[in-house]
Amino acid sequence: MAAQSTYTPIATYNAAGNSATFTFTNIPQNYTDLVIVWSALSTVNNSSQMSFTYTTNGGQRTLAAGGSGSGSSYSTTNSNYIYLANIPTNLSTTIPYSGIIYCNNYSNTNTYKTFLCKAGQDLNGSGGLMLAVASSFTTSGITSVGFSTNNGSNYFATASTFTLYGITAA
Amino acid sequence: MANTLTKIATQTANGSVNSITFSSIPATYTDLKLMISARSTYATGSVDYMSGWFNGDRNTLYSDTIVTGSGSSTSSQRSSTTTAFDVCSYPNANNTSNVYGSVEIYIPNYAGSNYKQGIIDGVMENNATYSEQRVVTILYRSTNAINSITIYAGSGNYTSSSEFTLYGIKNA
Repeated sequence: MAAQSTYTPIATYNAAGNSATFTFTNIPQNYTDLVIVWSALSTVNNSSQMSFTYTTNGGQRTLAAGGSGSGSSYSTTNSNYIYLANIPTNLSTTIPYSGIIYCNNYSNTNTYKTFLCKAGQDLNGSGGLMLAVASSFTTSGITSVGFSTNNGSNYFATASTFTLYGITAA
Repeated sequence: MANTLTKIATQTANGSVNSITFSSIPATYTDLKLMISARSTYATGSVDYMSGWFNGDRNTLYSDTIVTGSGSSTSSQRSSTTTAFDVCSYPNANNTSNVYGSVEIYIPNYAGSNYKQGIIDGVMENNATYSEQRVVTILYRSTNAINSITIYAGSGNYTSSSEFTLYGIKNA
């Protein structure tokens, strides 16, 4: 059997340093799973954090475990928003915040959608990390996902990259 | 169709080495992913501990933050300004035969000019007698591209079936 390429880049967002939010839109429905990888920097060193901005009108539930280097925690959230990739500290201008989100079977219109996220930012003496799972109680295929800083005046710096991959099972 | 996930190299331990190094890593990918299945020959306690470094650099440019779960508790710890980064615990010779630990190390933008931030997750499970999961975020405070990765076995050697595969991932 000839080897097939099953891990395909769908889109990459290279920040231009002038926006606090962006969205991958028009995600094709012909893959099996989605993977999102990011390495994010901020234009300003202050209280800007980052959020994953997938939303729907249905209920969402997120379970997250986190660590600060001195203590661990977990939380559950029921909301119209999914709380993945919420950085446990602030975005930095020099040290990237990195992470990965997996969404399996994202285009199946008969199942609710689940997400798995692992993300972290060590700052050599501070920082933190999180491991989170989330469910979206909607059967619609996922057609767009996005990220934003929670301080509209802090933009993603030019070295920030976000890439959306599609994985095909066959 | 773009060939995005590419195997760069695989190394299988021979039972007598205490480190594995991938060198001459090309800078042509976007991200690196290192997959590990390993067991240690160390025969004290329940685990051995992997650590690592990049580019042969043993200066104090590393730090990491860890969350550990054992099945009954969680904890978090941090190491700062160190000469290597923590990877994870993994089974040693006191575990049931053939029990190996699994580890993924993911390094986005490894060839960029910013500091390098990676994500590690590792698991081991010894038939309910001992289990551990670790998620680690690592920082390498260097603007140099990563061209080699060394994973150190800890107190023992890697057993002969321990396997390490390095992949490159392109975003275009």
